[in-house]
Amino acid sequence: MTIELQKENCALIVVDMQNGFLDAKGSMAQSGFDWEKLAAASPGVQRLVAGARKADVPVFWTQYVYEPDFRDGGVQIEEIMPGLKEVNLCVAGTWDAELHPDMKPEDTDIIIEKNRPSSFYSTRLESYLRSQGIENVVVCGVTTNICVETTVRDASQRDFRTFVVRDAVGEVDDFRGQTALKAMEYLFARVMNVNDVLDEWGVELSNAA
Amino acid sequence: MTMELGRDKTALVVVDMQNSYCRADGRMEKLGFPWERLAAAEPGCKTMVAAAREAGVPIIYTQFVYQPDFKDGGFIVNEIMPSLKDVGLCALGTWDAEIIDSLTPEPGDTVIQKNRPSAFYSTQLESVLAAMKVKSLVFCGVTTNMCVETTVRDACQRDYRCFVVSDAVGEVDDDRSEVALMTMGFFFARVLTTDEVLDSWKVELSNVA
Repeated sequence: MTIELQKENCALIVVDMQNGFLDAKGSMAQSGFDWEKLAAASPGVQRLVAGARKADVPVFWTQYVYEPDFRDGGVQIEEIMPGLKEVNLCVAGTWDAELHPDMKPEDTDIIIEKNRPSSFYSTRLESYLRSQGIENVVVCGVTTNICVETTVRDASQRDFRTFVVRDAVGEVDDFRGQTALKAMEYLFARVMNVNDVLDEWGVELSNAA
Repeated sequence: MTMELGRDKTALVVVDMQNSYCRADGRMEKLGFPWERLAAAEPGCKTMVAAAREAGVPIIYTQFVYQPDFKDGGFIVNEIMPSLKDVGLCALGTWDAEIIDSLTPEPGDTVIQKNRPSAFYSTQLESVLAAMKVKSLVFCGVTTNMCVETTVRDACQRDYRCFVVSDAVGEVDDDRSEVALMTMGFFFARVLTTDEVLDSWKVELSNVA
């Protein structure tokens, strides 16, 4: 049985497409992670955003942002990965936290700041989705196994019909990336390609916009 | 830096050790899943429960329970895995939904019923933990990549210090099991063995004695 994607009551959620993750000078690169594997999500994400504009599907951008002194970092920063503090990952007001210049949010888009992997936990995302009557969410961005997957798990068990786009996500480790998609497909989402999404939205893009 | 485990402000969470998952005539087996691989978590869970009792660490059991007509199943049951409904997985009031005999909760233990993978979403778990002033959680049970991992992701981003017991959890696939432990260890938890947990708690116990 195929879980059909509709463009009615649908939203696109673009997770954490920020300089800190996608740029050679970003904090993830400084931590020794393979930023190019994250940047690889960018063309697919840009096509999805272009498709969403044509299909009148609202676009939500999430943005990982910590306070400069990381007082909002909690267990993950203090005990699990303190190195993130040393590279100043996604600190509020810095270039590292900004959306990558290839991402072009429009004035009417909603940007959701978050300081945890899930885009749902302790953010305004759910109230925006519910108040707009959104029932279907298409999720793309980085990283597949951490913020994308945590967000997908949360969306699905909140009964949003959830779709993940395998050629518009990125992970630093191939095994974790592939298995994350398998886990999401197993119980939380339908996994699709960018082209499937565009087809089911009924939009065509000229020149791989 | 290692996140230390003690017994103060700590609880043991035993995830979904139910007949459905861990017994030959459970409903998971009817779906073709190798229940033995989930029952493999049973000895480790029994060790953890015994250790927690001796250490005075409170024990919380989670129990996956659906309404008999699955009206609370939502997207996951209706669209992702409708076969769960066909076999009547963990239906309220059935033997299938009961916690296995060898881990039957005792008076004073807490049982949290849930109908989503996370034991935090739409349950009383968080208020129970807050009331008990628990800060650290030790996790065992099934399945590693689904309900254990979803619960651990939620616990960690709520700033509980999370410990996952690698030889007291079970999953039906090797790759998802391996990546689940890798992922939790990467950004959500410290992964320990039962022996390591016993060591941590014994130290605390001998101090008291």
